[in-house]
Amino acid sequence: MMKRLSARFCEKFRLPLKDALFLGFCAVFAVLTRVVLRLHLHISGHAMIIKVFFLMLARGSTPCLYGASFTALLAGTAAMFLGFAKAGPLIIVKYLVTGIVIDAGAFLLPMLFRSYVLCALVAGAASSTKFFTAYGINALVGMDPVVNLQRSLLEAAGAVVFGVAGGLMVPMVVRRLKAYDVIK
Amino acid sequence: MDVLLQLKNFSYTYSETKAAVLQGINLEIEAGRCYCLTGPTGSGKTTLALAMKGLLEKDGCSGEVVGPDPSDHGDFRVGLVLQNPETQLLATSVGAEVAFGLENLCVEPGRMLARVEAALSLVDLRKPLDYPVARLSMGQKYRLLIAALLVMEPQLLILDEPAAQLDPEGLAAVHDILSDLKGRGVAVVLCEHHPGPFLDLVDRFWQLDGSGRLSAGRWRASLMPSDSTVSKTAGGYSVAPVLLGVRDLAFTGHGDVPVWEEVCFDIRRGQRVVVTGLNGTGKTTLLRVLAGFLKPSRGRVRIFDAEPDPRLLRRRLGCLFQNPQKQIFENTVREELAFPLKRLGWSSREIPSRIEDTLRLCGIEHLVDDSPHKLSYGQKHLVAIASVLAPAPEMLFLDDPFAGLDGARQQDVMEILASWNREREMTLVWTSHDPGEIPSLADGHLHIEGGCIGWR
Repeated sequence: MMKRLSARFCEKFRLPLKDALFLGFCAVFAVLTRVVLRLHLHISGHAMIIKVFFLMLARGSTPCLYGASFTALLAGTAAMFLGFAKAGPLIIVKYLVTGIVIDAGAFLLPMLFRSYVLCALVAGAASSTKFFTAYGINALVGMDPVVNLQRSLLEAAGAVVFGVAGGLMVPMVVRRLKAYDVIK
Repeated sequence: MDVLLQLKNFSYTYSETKAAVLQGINLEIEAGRCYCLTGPTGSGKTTLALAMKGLLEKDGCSGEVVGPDPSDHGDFRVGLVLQNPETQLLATSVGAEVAFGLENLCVEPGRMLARVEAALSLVDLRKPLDYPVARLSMGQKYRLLIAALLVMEPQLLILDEPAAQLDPEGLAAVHDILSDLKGRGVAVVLCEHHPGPFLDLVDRFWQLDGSGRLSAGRWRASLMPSDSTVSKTAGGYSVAPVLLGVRDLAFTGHGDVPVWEEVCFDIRRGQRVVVTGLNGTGKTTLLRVLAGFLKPSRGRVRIFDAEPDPRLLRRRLGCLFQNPQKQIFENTVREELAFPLKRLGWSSREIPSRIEDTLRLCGIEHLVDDSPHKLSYGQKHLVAIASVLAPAPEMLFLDDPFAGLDGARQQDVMEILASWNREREMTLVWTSHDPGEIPSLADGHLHIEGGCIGWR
């Protein structure tokens, strides 16, 4: 019984080499693009455009149910070692929460990556996690709750705008990759 | 005879299509025999070749592919040269490309040189080992790939449409190689629309009927009686204005070697000119220079009374590249044809009907919503032809437009070109690697030989 269950589990969560490489590429590009395009725009949440785009691309390009979360884990770990956003190990959580929302969206909406509207919605939802992560980190350093709430809401609003922009690019790219037979 | 490979009730379906490309295929390949696989464009010949090589995804396969007993034959090596050689080339220089297979077989470096040179001389590719692969013509790339496979001594050699890329000299060289290989017990499978040069070698013909079924026999295109419009000249072009004038033109290639020089000719409105020459004589280079994509080393080109500039020629000149993969880039065939029309400012009401008409003329209207990147080489070629024809430019440059097309499709394309030439006075210049077969469509023949270009 246990053997059968474990075999079914392994089959369900099997990650073929091609998909693993694709997720790895997305994680690398998510980090590299941020390194190369270090824009000091002083606009809150502008990094979300890259993060959401690559995480959604990772999920949209592979049948892997946990594609975005796995990519987020890889990218978050790399970002931690590169010292992004001065968040230390908490940056992994920031990436991971976004990835989990994208995976959940893809699970609930099978047509997600063909529709601009659905992609915008899921990207918005994924980006809105910025509020919780920002609030949590600010609370950890002892910020006044009222100030923290206002500040986190402002940061999340910026992140949602940029995240939606990142999400809107995904259907176009997925469609092109499918047309070229790069992905199934 | 030893059976090298068997397909038993083999079927294959591509993941994004519902209909099987191959259905219930049963075949045996014996050592030392030559088989020729025929069938219309897009019937699944290349897919069957990929199945023999074991390159198809397992998910879409059913049935059995049985190789030889390893105890008798050791590692069973299958060599496959695809129709578009550029998809298969790995190295940047000629020598490295041929040596790559030997490296994989763990041959000692000291022994490689002689084997690489012998393989290159077998296919009659006389280039230095450090010659850049990117500078070879399509025909030369095809020869290079054959050499790269021969050096690994395959037991089964599959060639996909060799006649589409090789000139008569190249085909004669391949014929001799295949004859020799047969004698040494190597099995050969040719996927070929025009098996003429290999008829004496072929032991057995197979045909794919377009529905995925394989049967014995040779498929022949049911050609309609040739339309008199194809052979009739538009007449009167001798008094038409000169659209393209070339004076004292020369082009220098790799290593300061002249490709051709002292080229002079005029092409008038409505003329239909074929440019012939063997592989690597500079046919594609000539078209590129005439279209302004390459700068000549000397001389003058006047096209539509101006220096050639691709930006200024956009509305007036259409170019078909030899490799359709370099030309098509949109997601669907419909979008591919719509792209030039949108760029040229056609109204959104006119575009759908023009797309429909052009696709119907080319016989590919059923592919309108398919991705052009997943089609067969011949179908890609038809899509590329349709996309350059759709805006009806005044002049068309076509680089080997009939490569990879079966007889019926070739005739269809010729009919379209002839009718557009007659009705719209479209000037046509196209290349061919077979100087012996000049289509009746042509009313002028430029030939390239020994670095000289002249009328024949």
